[in-house]
Amino acid sequence: MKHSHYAILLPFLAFLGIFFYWPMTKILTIAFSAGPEQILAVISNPLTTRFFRFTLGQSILTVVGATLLGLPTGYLLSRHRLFGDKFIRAALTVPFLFPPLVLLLGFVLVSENFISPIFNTYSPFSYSGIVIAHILYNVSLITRITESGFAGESQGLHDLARTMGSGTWSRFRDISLPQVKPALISGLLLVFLFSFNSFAIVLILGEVRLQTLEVMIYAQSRLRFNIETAAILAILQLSINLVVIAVYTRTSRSTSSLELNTLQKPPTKSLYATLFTYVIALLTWIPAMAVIYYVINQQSISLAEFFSSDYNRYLGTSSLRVILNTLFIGFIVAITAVLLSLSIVVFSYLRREESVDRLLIPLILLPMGTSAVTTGFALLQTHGQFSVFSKIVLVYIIAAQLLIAIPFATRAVSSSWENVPKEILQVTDTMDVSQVDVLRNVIFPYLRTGIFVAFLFSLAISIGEFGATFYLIRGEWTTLSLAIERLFTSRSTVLPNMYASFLVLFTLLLFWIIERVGTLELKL
Amino acid sequence: MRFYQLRRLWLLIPLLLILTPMSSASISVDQSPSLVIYTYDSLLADPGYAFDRAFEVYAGLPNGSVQVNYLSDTGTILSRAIAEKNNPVADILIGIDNVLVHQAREENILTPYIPDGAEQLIDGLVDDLASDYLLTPYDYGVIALWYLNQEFEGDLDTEEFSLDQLLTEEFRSQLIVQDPRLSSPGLGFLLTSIALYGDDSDGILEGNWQDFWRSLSQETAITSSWGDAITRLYAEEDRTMMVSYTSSPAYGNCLWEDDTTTAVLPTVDGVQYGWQQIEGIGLVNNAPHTDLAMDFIDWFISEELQEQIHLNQWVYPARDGISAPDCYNTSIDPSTITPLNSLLSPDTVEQQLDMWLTDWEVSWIEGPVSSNDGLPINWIAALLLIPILRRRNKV
Repeated sequence: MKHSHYAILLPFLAFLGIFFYWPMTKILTIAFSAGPEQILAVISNPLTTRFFRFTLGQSILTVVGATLLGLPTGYLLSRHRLFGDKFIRAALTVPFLFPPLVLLLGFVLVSENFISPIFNTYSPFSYSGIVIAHILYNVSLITRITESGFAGESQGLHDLARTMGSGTWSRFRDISLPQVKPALISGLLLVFLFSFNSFAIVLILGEVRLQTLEVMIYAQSRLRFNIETAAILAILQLSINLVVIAVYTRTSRSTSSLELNTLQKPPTKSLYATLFTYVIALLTWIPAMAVIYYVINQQSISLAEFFSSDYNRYLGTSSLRVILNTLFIGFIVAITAVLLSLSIVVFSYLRREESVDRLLIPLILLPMGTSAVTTGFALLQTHGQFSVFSKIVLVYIIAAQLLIAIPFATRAVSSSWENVPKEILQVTDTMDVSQVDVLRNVIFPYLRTGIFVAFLFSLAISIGEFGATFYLIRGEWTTLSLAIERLFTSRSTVLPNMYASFLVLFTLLLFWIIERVGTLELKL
Repeated sequence: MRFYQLRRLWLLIPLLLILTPMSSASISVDQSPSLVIYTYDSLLADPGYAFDRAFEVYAGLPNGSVQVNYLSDTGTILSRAIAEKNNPVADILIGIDNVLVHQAREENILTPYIPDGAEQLIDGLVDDLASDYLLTPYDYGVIALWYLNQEFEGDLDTEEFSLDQLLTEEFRSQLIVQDPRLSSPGLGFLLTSIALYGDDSDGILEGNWQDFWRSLSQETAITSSWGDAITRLYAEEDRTMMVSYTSSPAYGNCLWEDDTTTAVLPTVDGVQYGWQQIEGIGLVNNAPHTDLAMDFIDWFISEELQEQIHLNQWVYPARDGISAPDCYNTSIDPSTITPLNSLLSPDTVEQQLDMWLTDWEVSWIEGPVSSNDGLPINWIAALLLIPILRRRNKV
């Protein structure tokens, strides 16, 4: 055992130490130095309890709604041949990659132009608006996760049950449901986590009345300057996230099962399954299609506004620069995320670790449990005191986005490390080849796909990130998501839709490339 | 797509590295500005007076020497200045008003400076904002309700308007207010209600200000900024009234001879009351370019700039002797208004503001949400999850 192997992890550890552990320690210190009375006062404050109930309530409703739509879709996808099989799978995966601001803008557009005229009193700026937006966002996650859960079912078990006279429903209940349950539960927990920490959608649709803890942390720290209150709320949110993630890692570990004789799909294509899945896919696509439709309709104005400098004062820069910023930050985040994730693999190889699970907790779990706004808040509370902070704020925006992308990137890279046949490594150990050669010629080919997926997924996360960037942004580094928010209701309706369309198209391009090089795993 | 083809993607990175900074050159942000200003994005914006360029010409500085960072609201200006207070980046903050001045004072982000020409400022404004010149007033306005005459439905007598009238369903369903945590006119209107209603035992009007907001929140729309509010005012047929300034009718009247909007103030026993918002410009403590910043503040209260206030900022200049253009004749004469500021002393505002904002938030959400916060649904949803989780444990 060589301790020098840890040197490989040094950049990763240094990054986390500087940009995550130190800032988070500071938040913990602020929260706990407030004293038990103050902590109790914050937690028992009527606003906190009300918004805590809301945060929890809307997350649970989202989970229930996304499951009601996603579980049958996943089931049908796994059981039936569909017309346009590949197309529908892709169409059902992409919406999860759409930035929240795109979904929000499209949802408001559809609600105000189509739903409100029919149901006079309906407003998307409501409890149901938030839940529907969250459900639309998460259906694809449940669909794809449960699809892979159902797909591993045993043909033998079903045959046996059928010969014993068991009907479709009882086979579903007794064989399929237990089979899909671990996958479903990890899906539910992820959806819970995403909605529990939702920021942009609730910030805008919730107005003042409805706030998640995430929105409260932002409001208390940035609008009210109540740093202690914000820190206490951040710790409350972090604790709940960590409990959920702990349960998640336990359940997701038990999801992989090896069934050689998996259930066969019937040879003919199913019309009703095709119809159902297309309807669900269409639902999740409505917001994205709405923004694109809007821009096409307003083509001439859109281009004129895009190149006009009228909005530079609100954006802090030009529209063109906003796009370049988004891509620039995205590429830097993606490259760094891949490099840091690779260091875990190299470390695992040098230490001959079978799996990287042991490293998961400190490196991935804690950053994953920390919300975007808390990340921004913690960075500002620590690094904000340095004179260079404003000048190099780009570094902090990249760091915050990296902290969000890293769990996904390391997952993609490390799962491809687990595909490396360890027997080959045992053979190369007995041969006279350098470890660098083994890494380059033996291990790297197995990692290529993982690296590309990690790169593209991190890029997708970065271009859509809102919370942390919004918290930290200064001057000319505005990104597309921020620009959408800035111009959302007041100054221009055309430009936000134009920015959102760009995000949709870019996300589609990324997804297309991901599908070409590997598969996108919607889990951690 | 083959792997080697994907390598071309990496070529994008150097391209972006070159393009990103290049594009910033096109918006003339100097890499080493001589003066950095933080302000809100609607300062002198409509139709627009480029004060940064005007000052460069006045001071003989090269184009781009003055860098203005436009932020979405005054709260953001403050929070950024607070975050940077140990190592300031900005030299000047513009837009901190007579309410937020307390926060600025408490955080020690500004330093007093008595500008040349201070004696030309209207009597009382300095004392009401900051008698030690921590901030120098550059404009003032009175918070009022502003409505579209032709679209507004209901009986409104501008001579005898009372805040109580807003509590009828007809009025509150046409009204748009701004979130007082984010918007300074929104905060001004909150203070108007606090000054007029007070708590149960005090105030000019019967009742209490929290009940007023509880009732308003039933149907009144809320926006995060004045800009959002005016968009909704013109976009939504049924929203015809918003919180704004007494001088707002001048906007349409001066630009398009449109006199179809009216501002109204609450009247009690024949006296018109209004919250006076005084906006100030301040020198940042340990500013990197102190001397030039002082020159800028001097210039900001000079005739050259102050003459631009009426027709670009749509409130009143702080400098004495600048008469309003004729098209201001549809606005309420400021000299006929009794400022509510005398009812809420700066000390009271300073001590109570945080509590008021919390109480306001509670009052606002207590209205319709209490019956519709999804609580029963939450519990139903939770009950639905229990069997799933329990069954999992058995597996």
